[in-house]
Amino acid sequence: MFAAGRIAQFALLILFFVFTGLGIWLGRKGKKFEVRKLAALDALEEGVGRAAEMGRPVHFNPGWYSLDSVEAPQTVAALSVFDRLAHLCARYNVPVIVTLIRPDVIPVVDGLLRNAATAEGRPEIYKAENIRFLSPEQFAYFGGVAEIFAREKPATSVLMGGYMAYSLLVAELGYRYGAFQVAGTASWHQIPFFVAACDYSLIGEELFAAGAYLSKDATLLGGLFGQDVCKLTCVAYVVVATVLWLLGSDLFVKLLKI
Amino acid sequence: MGAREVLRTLERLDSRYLFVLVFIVTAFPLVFPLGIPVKISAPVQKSYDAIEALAPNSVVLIGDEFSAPSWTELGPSYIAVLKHLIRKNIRLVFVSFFSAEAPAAFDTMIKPRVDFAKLKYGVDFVELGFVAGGEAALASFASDIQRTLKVDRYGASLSELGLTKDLRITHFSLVVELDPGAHLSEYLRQLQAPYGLRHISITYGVTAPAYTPYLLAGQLSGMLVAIRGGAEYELLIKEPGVAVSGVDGVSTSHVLFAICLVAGSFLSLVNRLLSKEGKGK
Amino acid sequence: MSKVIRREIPLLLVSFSAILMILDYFFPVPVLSSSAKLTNEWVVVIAGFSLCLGATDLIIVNTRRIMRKTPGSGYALLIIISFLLTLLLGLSSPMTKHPAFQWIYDYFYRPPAGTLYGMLALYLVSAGWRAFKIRTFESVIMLVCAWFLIMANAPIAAVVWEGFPSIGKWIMDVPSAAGWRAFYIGAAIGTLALGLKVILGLERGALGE
Repeated sequence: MFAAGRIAQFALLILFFVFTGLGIWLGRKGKKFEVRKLAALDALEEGVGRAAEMGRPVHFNPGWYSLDSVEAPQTVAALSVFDRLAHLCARYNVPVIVTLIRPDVIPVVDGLLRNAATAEGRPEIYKAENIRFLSPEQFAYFGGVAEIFAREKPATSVLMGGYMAYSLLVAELGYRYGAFQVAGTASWHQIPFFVAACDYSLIGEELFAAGAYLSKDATLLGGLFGQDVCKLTCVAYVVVATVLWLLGSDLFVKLLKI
Repeated sequence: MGAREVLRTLERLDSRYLFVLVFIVTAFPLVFPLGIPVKISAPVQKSYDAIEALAPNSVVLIGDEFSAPSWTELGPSYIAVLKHLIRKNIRLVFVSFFSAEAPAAFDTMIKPRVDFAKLKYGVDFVELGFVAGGEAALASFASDIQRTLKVDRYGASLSELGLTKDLRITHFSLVVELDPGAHLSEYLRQLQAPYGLRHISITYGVTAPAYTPYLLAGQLSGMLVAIRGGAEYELLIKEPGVAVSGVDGVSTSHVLFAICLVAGSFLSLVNRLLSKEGKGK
Repeated sequence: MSKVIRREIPLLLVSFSAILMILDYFFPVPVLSSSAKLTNEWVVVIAGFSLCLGATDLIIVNTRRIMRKTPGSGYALLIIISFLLTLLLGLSSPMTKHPAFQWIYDYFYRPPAGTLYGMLALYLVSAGWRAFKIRTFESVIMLVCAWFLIMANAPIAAVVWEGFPSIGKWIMDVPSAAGWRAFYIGAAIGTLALGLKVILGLERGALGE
């Protein structure tokens, strides 16, 4: 019935689905899940305050990936952060410039900024020309961002989402113009650059947790809890397998190959 | 200027001085080669051995995800591996799933530097071009090549080309994956895990540490990392080229970077201690 | 557009496709295999269309910029002209091999792309000078590991001391590999959770919600 060598994988898949589903169900039933403080998210308000004091705008970029790509969850998480940022900017009366690599994100960003400006009673914050699609080619995008930084000199730069090689270029650019920088990515090959070049970073799954943390969505928070249970299960399995291996048994290793 | 002022100024050194230093340190060995010996690393040796072990007329899949910006790090390795494969009379199938630019980059940067003259198109090598769809396209290609792609890059029917007429994924003896976009996981998921295809990756320095687990687990049979991997491979095939001439610059720039790392940390530590001492007084 | 067409039907399609692909992976049933293969082929076709969508968006957004005479609209005009010229030359026979297309690729695209990528080296050194600050015990460990890894990649280090490549290799093969394995497992679990939310119709990010 099963494809050869995939029974264990199927069993693990079902187990992880059960844990995650349970977490989502508990969240929807009203169970409160706490996500630990994420310093980068607290720093957003600090960054916007800084921009307000200096009379300069805030810059935001939601990353490289479009909403129809495999990495779309990173962009979605970035847009959750942008929602909060937009509210803060509207509250403090700070203009926000959004630079985009993917055109399909434009209507979502537009909607979020417009809603935030209206909700905070500052409709003048919303300016369509501040949402700038530059180029889908990363280095051409960087050229456009460099021109914007040179002209507008944003006081704060928030870089969230999936990134490619241009991440360090944009982060260093922000540093050179004295911007306060908050970044977050689950693109593992760019994480070190953000950690080195930015003031605050969200690493890996903290970006997805940020989306859940800010939106307070029960489904997302419950899903996070379920994922954590899955990870603990993996840790327990690895520990037991290692101990058994040291004692001369490869049972737990063979089990995974069934 | 007191010593403290000097140290503070150094800590806040304008980046442009560092840029000039990097330029000098990297360019110097290009003009005055240092001839630093390059030791062959295990992943590169494994890659070479994997290709050496191929029987003549084996078919190798080249996951050609090449692009213009990746020329400096991946280009020399790519060329050296292709030269080795051609020398061994290996038949090649080129395809890209993640880089729409790859066919154009191949035409302008790779083909002029590799001798394809003795190869017959359709028999010794085929270019399938770019297939949109990312990992889904890769999965579709793996399950049925002729159903996924009816024609090659030039519009010739795959059923009329000798190399691709009855080609199945299991006919490939090796996959050489160029990795500027960090898509090795997709290749391993769709080609190595279900079909057991051996893989070699030509990858950036920044992604190499992340691929070490695959190398250690045996999912990756070899890895060429950045220009140093290219230099090692050029030495192995005994055709030193661009990579060997540039690898001295790798040494000098790496040493500079290591010094900057330590010096920058040391300066910030000393300045912090001195300012605490100043406050204490 | 009604909510059913805009939201419910796409969610149903996604859930159905996800379940089909999962079942095909585990159960070698002919009807599942052929359906999964067909689905994958459709993805290839749809992905081809989405490339056109990206290009169309580029034209629309930049045309709007020109018509509204926003700051930088001159660049928008340049983008459209460059795009159309490159497209036409690329489609000219022989496709993507026209000398003018290759000339544009060689002299207009490659040099700036390579240059901007090369700037990463400069910015890396600048970030290394500025950003690595020894504040905690962990940062000292990170500095030491970074030192050995950098020296392991520099051929000159092996000439100075053989310990550099050996220690660097150990760091790559043991603690670094262990950390990356944990990262991969976490990422895989995250992907599974996402997959479940997709199947249950709870993940609506791709719909722009």
